[in-house]
Amino acid sequence: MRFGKPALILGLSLSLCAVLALAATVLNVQVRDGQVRDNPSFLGKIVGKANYGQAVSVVQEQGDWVRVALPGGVSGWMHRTALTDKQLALSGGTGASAGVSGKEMALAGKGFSAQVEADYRRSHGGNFAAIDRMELIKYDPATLLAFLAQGGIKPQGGAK
Amino acid sequence: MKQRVLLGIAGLLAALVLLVGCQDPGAVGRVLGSIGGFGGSPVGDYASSAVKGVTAIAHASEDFNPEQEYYIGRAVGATLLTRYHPLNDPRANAYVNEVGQALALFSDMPQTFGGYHFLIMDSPEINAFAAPGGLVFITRGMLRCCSGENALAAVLAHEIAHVQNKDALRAIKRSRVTEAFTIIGGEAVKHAVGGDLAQLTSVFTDSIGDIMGTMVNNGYSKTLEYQADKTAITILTRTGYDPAGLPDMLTEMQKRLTPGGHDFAKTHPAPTDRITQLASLARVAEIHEPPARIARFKAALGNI
Repeated sequence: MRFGKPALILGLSLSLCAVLALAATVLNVQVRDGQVRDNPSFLGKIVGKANYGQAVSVVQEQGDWVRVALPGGVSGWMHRTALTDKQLALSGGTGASAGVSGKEMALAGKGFSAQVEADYRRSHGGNFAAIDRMELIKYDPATLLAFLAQGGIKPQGGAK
Repeated sequence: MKQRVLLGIAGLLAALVLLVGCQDPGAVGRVLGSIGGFGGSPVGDYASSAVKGVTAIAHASEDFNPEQEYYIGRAVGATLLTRYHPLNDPRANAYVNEVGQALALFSDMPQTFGGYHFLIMDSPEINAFAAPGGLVFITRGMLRCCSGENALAAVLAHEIAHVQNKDALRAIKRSRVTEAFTIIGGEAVKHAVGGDLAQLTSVFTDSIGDIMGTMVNNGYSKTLEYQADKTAITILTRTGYDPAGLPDMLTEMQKRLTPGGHDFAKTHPAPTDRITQLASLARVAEIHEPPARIARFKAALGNI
């Protein structure tokens, strides 16, 4: 009986925890540089950034876009594919807790990481320098849509 | 009095679980683990490993997360570029990236961990590869099969489809995935030193080997290739390109492929079979491209 009450309280708090989890949907950013825009479109102005692994609260959903709230009061739209409901930390004992930034989490060296890549490189080589250069070529959505327009291509759907 | 103290402690613990647990299920295990010594009971350690077990199983079934996919893709690309040389033509590469990155915006996966990037490889072979995460490689020989930007868009859309459908990751043997998560599930990988890093690198190496074997030597199944063609049609249509670009490009490829060659002749179904499969979605047709589009294609890839 002496241990009955603590167990009961623990049980109740766990159920409360589950209820709270249902009330506020929290998603995790699954891209390296998550862009938060002022309207639900790739053409929206970027008003904030969210790093890989960062948790964001869902405020509103519209088609492929989700309006999220970031810590610090910033809110804006992120494309659904940049978000996941999955826990992104792989190690059972080293999941990110609240307050750990996405950058710190990405650097934590879990699973296949920069550290594993460096180790692989030492034993197998590979032209990683060319891959690094390749990753530098990137165009923002507004430039890409202007490129399509210049070629007389009229998008019918998708990236809106 | 004693009961009050116990209740107080229990309340505190409950609050702690509540505070941390909602944010991160794994943290429940840590909190419980940290109180494992309380009263000499091993209950915390047990709970901790139980939580870890569940996490490991969940991840194994969902395979790799976007960051893992990114590192696999980089290594696949870096390995591929020991066999093929990048074409040093900034203008041509920029143009292929403009077309490819525009198409990717209209795929079902417009955003990946590291984004989509395209590179021309200096080889007369007719080939193209899509590494996990969005690194796409295309040979000069393949570009020569493209009569214009619309046909180029068709080739790139097919490769983006492979990225979106995660076809390269499917080539990794199931046992590697299980092995990876067994290692990752172990606490010691927190700082991945010594034996654990070596083990993880070994699984990583084998996974890259699996992908290279399928992507470069054996090819994906016909089913996956036809599916990638269908996805490509969707991407082309959404972007605003004429889907006829795909069968048109395949017709040209059929003319140029050398039977028995170590390129698309080996890894893909015959272009004529792919055209037949596409019949209900897109047929060979003359594509009218405006002068501005023809001009920019010629300027960028005219001498390829």
